[in-house]
Amino acid sequence: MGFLNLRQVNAYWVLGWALAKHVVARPFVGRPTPTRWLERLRGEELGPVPQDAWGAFAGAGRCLGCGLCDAVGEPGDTPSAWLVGAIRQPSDAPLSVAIAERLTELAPRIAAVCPARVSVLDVVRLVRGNLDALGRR
Amino acid sequence: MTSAFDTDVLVIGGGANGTGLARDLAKRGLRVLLCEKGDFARGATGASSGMIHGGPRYLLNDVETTRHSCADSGYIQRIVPHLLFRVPFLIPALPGGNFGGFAPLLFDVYFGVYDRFAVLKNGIPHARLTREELLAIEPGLRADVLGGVTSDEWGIDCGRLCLLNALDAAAHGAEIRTYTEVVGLMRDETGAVVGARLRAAGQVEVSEVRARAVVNCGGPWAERIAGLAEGGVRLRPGKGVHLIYDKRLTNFAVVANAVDGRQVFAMPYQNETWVGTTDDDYYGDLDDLWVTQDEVRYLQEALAHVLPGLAQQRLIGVRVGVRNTIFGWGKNEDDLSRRYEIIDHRAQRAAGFYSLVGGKLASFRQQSEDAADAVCAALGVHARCETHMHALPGGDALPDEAELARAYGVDRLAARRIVYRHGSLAPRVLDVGRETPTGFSVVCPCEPVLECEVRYCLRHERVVRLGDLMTRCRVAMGPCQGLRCGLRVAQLWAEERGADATDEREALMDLLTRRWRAARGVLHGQQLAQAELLMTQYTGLWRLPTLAPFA
Amino acid sequence: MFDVLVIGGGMAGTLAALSARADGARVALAARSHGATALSTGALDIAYAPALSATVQMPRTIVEHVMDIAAHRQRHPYAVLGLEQTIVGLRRGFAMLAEHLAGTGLEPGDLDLEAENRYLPSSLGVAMPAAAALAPHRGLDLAHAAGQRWGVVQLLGDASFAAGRVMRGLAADAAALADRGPELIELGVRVTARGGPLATARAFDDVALIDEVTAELRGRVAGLDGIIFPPVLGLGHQREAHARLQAALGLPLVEALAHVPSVPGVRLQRALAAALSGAGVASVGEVVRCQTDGRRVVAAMTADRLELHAASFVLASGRFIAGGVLFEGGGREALFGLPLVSEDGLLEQDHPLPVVRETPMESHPLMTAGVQVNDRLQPMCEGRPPFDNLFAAGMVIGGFASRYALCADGVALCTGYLAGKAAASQRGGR
Repeated sequence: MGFLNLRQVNAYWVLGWALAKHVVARPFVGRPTPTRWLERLRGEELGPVPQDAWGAFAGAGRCLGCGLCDAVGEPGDTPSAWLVGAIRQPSDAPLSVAIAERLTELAPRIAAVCPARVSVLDVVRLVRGNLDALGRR
Repeated sequence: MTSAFDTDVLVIGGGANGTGLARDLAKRGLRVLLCEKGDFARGATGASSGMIHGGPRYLLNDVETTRHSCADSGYIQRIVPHLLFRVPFLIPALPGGNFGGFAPLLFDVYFGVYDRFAVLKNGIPHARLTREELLAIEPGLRADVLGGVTSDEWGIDCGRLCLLNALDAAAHGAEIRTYTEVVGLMRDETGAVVGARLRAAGQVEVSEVRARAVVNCGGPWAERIAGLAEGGVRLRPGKGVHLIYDKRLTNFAVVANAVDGRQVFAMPYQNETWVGTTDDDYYGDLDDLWVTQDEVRYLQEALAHVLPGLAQQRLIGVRVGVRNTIFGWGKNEDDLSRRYEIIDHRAQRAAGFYSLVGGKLASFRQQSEDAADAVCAALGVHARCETHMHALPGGDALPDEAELARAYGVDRLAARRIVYRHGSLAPRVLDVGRETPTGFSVVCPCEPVLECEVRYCLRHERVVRLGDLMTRCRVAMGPCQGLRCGLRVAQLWAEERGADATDEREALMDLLTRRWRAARGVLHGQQLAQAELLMTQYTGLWRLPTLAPFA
Repeated sequence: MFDVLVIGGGMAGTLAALSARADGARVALAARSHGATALSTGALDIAYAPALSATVQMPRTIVEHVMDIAAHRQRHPYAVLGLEQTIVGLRRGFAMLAEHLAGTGLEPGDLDLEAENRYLPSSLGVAMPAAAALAPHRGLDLAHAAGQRWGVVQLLGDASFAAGRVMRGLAADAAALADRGPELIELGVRVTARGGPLATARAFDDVALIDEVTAELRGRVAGLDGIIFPPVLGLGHQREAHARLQAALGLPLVEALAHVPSVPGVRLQRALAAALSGAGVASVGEVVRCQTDGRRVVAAMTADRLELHAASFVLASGRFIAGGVLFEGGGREALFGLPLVSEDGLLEQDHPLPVVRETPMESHPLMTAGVQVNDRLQPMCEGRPPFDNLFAAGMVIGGFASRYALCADGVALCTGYLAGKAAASQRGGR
């Protein structure tokens, strides 16, 4: 038990010493701002959340995978595959730019057939927002 | 010594501990047999938060534990880099929270200390954010947040981690048997354990295997397995639930406090968002877990407190499991230590029988190493652990996804997923696509998953039942719950296995049933419509059991 | 001002509109977008009830199945309507559908309730029991095909249809049904199909592709009694596609029943829309809200703020897929907030989610959730209809699910037809 207490004492000592140093040094060194942190994350394709994203998530996420939207658009368009796959990871946005363009054109036609009321424009908003967040536009 | 035993060590359990131990022992040159009663990662590992963290919370009690955790996290990154993904954390301070307005300052100091250890695992030094900066990064946070700090950890695909350990063990001569349950232990006249009785799933016959040592890595089942040799293991099983949302809503894990003050989080995980966890004493059936509405509500309320918009998002399933926490009396579930223990059952007169209990996913490699050391010492084997020195299969290099996409003519997103899951083996996965005209077609649009990957997993990744495929390449894990991929995957199964119609339908039922079990607790809103469509779609299959009266 | 306003453009809503129109009413139909009808398989499920009563002999004829369902499921629309009304609704509703599908290539033929269900080939590789089916899917009854030889076409690169599975599955089912099924031969066709069934079907609207297939198959079909195709032969021009192919090959052609994305469903949905406009039913936008006055529904507001008045209303808005029924925090019908009933009884607003279901095959109360109706198809609330001029049809009615008894099209035809008639009869009731 004494052994454990020593570890505990050491832990408190380390934290307490850090606090003391922090209080003393803070006026001189300032706080660690997020700029560099964000930059490193962007380098790994982890961008911040777009400002309007939370308003777009629900509408963009209603797809049931029924595939009815594949009947609209030009032959070769497969909106049903795009609507789910394209938005599940923000870091995939750079790969979905062309899809977003195509979806914008198809939006009214998809709305006319989609039982799930997927908001195609919200999907597009998310792709573009994430692209901006990564500084890719 | 050789002929009397079929194997040197029998490892029981296919979670992180069991597969990690099997790999360690096999690399030390021992003959190993691993038996798992289901598939890999079906217990505590498969229900964990999937995080290889450095243990910032241990800083409060024991700095050395944090150092070890960070170092081991660094090792894991080196041996299986493709399977890890960075999870940046936001730790917001809320009005009315602990330490009031001092919270950001104290967090700043605390994570400043953590930074010193986090470099061992390629962590990014933390930042301290004002309210405005926080809201600019994560606008979903409550508007009156006071500020906060950042941190970061690593997520990992737990199912694949266990698989890769097992495959590497097999590559070093171990024999791996999933769907094989240990139903009894063989004892000699002194009581020493000299082997076990095994039964394959769905079979009646029991076979015997003689082993010089038997190690119980049964996770929450460890108590039951130890009971086969008069006990000696006592756990305090804690049920843990994660809610799974349809997509990665944010790149940042957000820490929150639940109504009872417990710490919970929302976390990006591959292309989902997880919210967890609960921790409640559990005395029910370990083989049949489900979530209650209270658990779902508890987590939803907790996160709505900090990310109000989360409540409107699409909940597609849950992960539920039981922790194998070591027993302690008079403590809250949360306060129980996550420490691990290697129990030598000599004290119960069962020499040659060991249990590895407790612990956490993040230090599975260290836990396995310690257990292997103990077993080797007992067997008089002098070989060093090498599990931190050599890569797991696919972990030796990271191919360029764009190049692969070009070379094989596949979608770059699909190539990205294959590289994530298979690392340097990605070209071998893609090669399979050249065998059939549909080899590069998308089987599962939610992820996406290509046909070649499904075939590759069916051939090389020990898929015994079709549902196992979900933890290999994530088919049927997306919002549509197997609507789009189920039939196709079953067809590929039938082709690869030469299955008849009955086998194929049973395989599909297995996949859909497993998916259903994860979704049944949260049928709500749009996911209920999804269930309706799924069930209507497969009506022909549901009808099948009743075809018999015609025959 | 209309006599009847129908809310919902699927099978039930269409039938309601057509039957009200046939009785001379001025009818408008408000459709939002596609619903479950556009996802249907191509079969018309009237009544097939497996193992409802394990001890009793399996019913044989379709009418026996109807009676069996009504006897064992007290909240099923067939039980609520009673046998006499159900049979009338089924016969006349089906005849009305058949009349309006004439010339589309989808003609469902005649409905013989005294006959047994047919067993049709499906893409699932299952012999699916169905009382009837759209024309492209009707030509092969696996229960009566012993000694025949059928080809099963596999288009090159078509990942959505697997001839191998279909052959394996149908052989097994046919053997269970009739000791001996047809002999099935795979016919590979080097016509590339990419982008899913709907894309392929659109490509087949072009006769050039039909001729390519013909050229591929010619000379390889001797001795066959027919050919099973994937359900992709045309999306708008299915009639021409089938006729051309059939003429060139001189054999019966059958398209397997579809799974999603479903070509037969889209064809049916489009044919229904054409039938509505042909019959002079006005098409109005999506209804978002209804205005009520005491015991009557007075008007419906559309998404583009149009206020539509009608003497009576038919609610055919579907279930969860189409959004007619919602379960979000609590269960309710979407437009009027009507309470829900399941096969097992009333679903309280805060009904706890039933989680204890081991497999997806077990009956699940939410899957049968919908509004409760009386024998005049008026939605019920606390034991009486809250509105005298509101009727319900199709999946929005609770107490059944196609999962437990194959009957969804039968319910749509029967309740649609009867609800339309009842609504039309209220003219001047104000």
